[in-house]
Amino acid sequence: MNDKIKQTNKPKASGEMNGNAKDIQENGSRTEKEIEEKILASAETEPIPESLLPENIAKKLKENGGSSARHSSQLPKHRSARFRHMAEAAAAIALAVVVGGVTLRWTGQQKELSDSTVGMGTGLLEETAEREKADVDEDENIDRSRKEHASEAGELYHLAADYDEVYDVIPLTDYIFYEWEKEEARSDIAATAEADTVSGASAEADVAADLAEGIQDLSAENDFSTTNLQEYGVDESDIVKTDGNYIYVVRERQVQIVKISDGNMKTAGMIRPEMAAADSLEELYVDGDRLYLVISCVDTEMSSDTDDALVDFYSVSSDDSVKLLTYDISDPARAELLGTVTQDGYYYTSRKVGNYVYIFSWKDLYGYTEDTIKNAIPSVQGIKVSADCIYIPEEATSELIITSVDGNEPDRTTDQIVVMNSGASIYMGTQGIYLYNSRYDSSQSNTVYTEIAKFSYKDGYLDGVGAASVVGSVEDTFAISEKNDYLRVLTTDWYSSERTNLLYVLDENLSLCGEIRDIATGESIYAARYLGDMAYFITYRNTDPLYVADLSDPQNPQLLGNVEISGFSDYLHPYGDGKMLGIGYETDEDSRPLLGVKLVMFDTEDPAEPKILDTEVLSEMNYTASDAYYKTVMIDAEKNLIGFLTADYDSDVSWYYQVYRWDEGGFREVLVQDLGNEISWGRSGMEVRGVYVGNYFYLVTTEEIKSYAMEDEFSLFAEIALQ
Amino acid sequence: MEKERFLVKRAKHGDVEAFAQLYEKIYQNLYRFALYTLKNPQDAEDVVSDTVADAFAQIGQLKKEDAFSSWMYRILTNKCNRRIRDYYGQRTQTDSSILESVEDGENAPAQAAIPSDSEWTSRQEEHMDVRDAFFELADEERLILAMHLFLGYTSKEIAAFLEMNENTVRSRESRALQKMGNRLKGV
Repeated sequence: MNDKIKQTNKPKASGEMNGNAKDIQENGSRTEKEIEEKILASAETEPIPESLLPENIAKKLKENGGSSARHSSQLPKHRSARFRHMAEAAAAIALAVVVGGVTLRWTGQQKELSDSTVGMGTGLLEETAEREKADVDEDENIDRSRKEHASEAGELYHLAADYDEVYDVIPLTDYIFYEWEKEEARSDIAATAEADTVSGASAEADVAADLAEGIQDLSAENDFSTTNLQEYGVDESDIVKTDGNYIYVVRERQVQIVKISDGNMKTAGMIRPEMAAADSLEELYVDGDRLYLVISCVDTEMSSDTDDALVDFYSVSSDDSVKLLTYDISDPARAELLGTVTQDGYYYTSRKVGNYVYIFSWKDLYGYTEDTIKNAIPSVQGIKVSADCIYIPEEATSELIITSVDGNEPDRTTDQIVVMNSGASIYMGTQGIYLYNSRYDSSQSNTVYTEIAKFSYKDGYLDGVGAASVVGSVEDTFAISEKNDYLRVLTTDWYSSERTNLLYVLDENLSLCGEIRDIATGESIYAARYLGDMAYFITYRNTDPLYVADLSDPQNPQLLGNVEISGFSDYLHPYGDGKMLGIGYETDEDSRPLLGVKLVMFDTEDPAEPKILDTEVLSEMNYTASDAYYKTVMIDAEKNLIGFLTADYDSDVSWYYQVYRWDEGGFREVLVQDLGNEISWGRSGMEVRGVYVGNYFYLVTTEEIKSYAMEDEFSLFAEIALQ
Repeated sequence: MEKERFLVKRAKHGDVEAFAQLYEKIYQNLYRFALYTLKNPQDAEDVVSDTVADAFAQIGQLKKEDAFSSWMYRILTNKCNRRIRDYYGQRTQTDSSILESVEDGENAPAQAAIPSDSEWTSRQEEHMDVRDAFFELADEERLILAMHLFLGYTSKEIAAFLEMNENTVRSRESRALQKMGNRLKGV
């Protein structure tokens, strides 16, 4: 891999391109540019139909019920035939959007089409199979895995016998222009990918679960905050970390290490990894004297494509890869690089459990032809992953590369697997890694399923375990959670005649144990949280009921009770014994505009009869990042801190970090820090983090760190600029 | 961009005004793309209108709140692509002979209704020529160019969408522009 990078980063263009070709290209592109401009200019003179003007569109939407998908079942019945047709089309698209992949079942004519494609792809493959096989067998750069992997993950994935079997599941790009079914599938994938960015996984439930069960909280012991995690015991990388002595901040080209001491701050060191211009720092972990840093790399290659005599041009293609750098930071002023691991694909997420860091990257499988398909096999440490590490489904348009790295052996992977699929979200609990995606099956009476596959990761070794398919789609990051080998999943079924919600309990092999159906018919899940054996979730249509379900008997989960309140919460966080905090919005019950950000504290002491203790409407704020970007949230019941990011966007956008305390049965605002009109956005969302150490609260942005004395009414104590 | 997230958030909860504000920023692109891809103002109007209805109905499913435009573009592109396919009736073959004939502009959609000359008299002649030359391109060429010009797709994205090699997209785009260049010179 390193060799490849060195080679391909050298710009061949200027040196090797002959003068003639260069002239042609420049000339060509100049006239092309002119023609493009002419096309744009001509299009600008086209009159736009009145019906499409924004005001008329708004009018039409209002006439048609003014209702988005979440409320579409409430659409008035007197819609015109045309609009009904449109709504059906909408449903079809919506389904496609939710579905995880191209492995759709088409009926009738469409099915024939899809079959003919598959046939064609296979044929092409067979022609080249022999040649590929020869290439591959002679290739010494194939990783022979150290350990045999389990042969399957339920019915969804099985281990490939050889590379040919891998190639068989990848749709070849040939000239298949009129197969719009594929395009539809593609939009699904893109949409699934979007979903992934938000609903990575879920599990913070057990942070609280463990609190509730008396397991000592990490932060209480050491008196500093951790990243807001999905799952207790499963660390997540972030752009800001603290170990109680230092705050580590990922900047553009370096990690800044800031020594903190009772609110005072001083830069103690900088880590500047070797990076190419296009590389970027992502996130980090800190654990004792180890710092793990994730870097995204783009390896750009210029090549000449001369198969078309009409145009001789140079194309630029790029390959993504991810690096995990492990440093010894026992002396923060002189961090020492201990090892580097590189894998193909673009960075998706990572987790850390014990000494092992798990890196997840995606590689798209588009655009391969029979000549290039062997490049679809990803590399780890520059070595192709062997077929017996590759889990394959029937068909795949992307592949997920999962590696594990032991902090004590940071220059190699302990294990790696590739899971080929068509996009999935990831949840990692203390026992398993779960990939889940929704799939629409039109042959099965318009139902959406969530497919879930489980992989174990004990001591860094990755293995397929089992798979399941449940009705409905997972609508909230925190709606899926593992506890004592049981997986609990809350789904919303959008496509039945009436929307409904379901709760499933699956055993360690993902066999069904128990379920609750027909929960909150007509509503959908906005937020969920598991605490011990209880599931808490918010559904919403016009009001915001909090439901509580008892899952202590996996065979027989029970819905216990609910309490209704106006508006809705889209983020739930356990707040000490018997309390659940909701962050969301107040709404007008009739017209549904958002009236402001809302905090609500539920009393869940008696799960059969949850109560509302207090609500606080922040009417000047109309956005909170808590739902989509949960790492901006800093909540700690023992420290009595509720910190979150909000915005007021009525005229101009203004950002605020707000901290509340829960005192004597009510919310009390203790800090509103104005962050100005702009905050930085990165791949992990909004780059603002709240951290506490001892009696000081630290607010970290990409510009600076401010410290506040919590015991002195959160007065501003000190600040330091970041580099 | 930040504002867009908030508008999406509001639109998700049924706020029509918020949706209309999001739409306002892109509706010209949407219509121009549809018109230049489908060659027919009525079809273009329908397809944009359908896109809006679909998008509003399913915006609850848009998770990435800053991706509204690209999401709308994707819905529209799918619709236009499907409609082009519908122009060819029930034909489901995908073998190369058909594709070639498509390339050559044979079997063109039952003469797509191009507005009569009188409608365009007030417009500059060159713009008409450019549009006409564009309309003479093969369906796929129009789609590729329109995706690039009106919706801002990169060749890599177009390649992914059409399941073509990126280089092929570039060469087809380039060839289409050259074709237009030649036609415009000949006018």
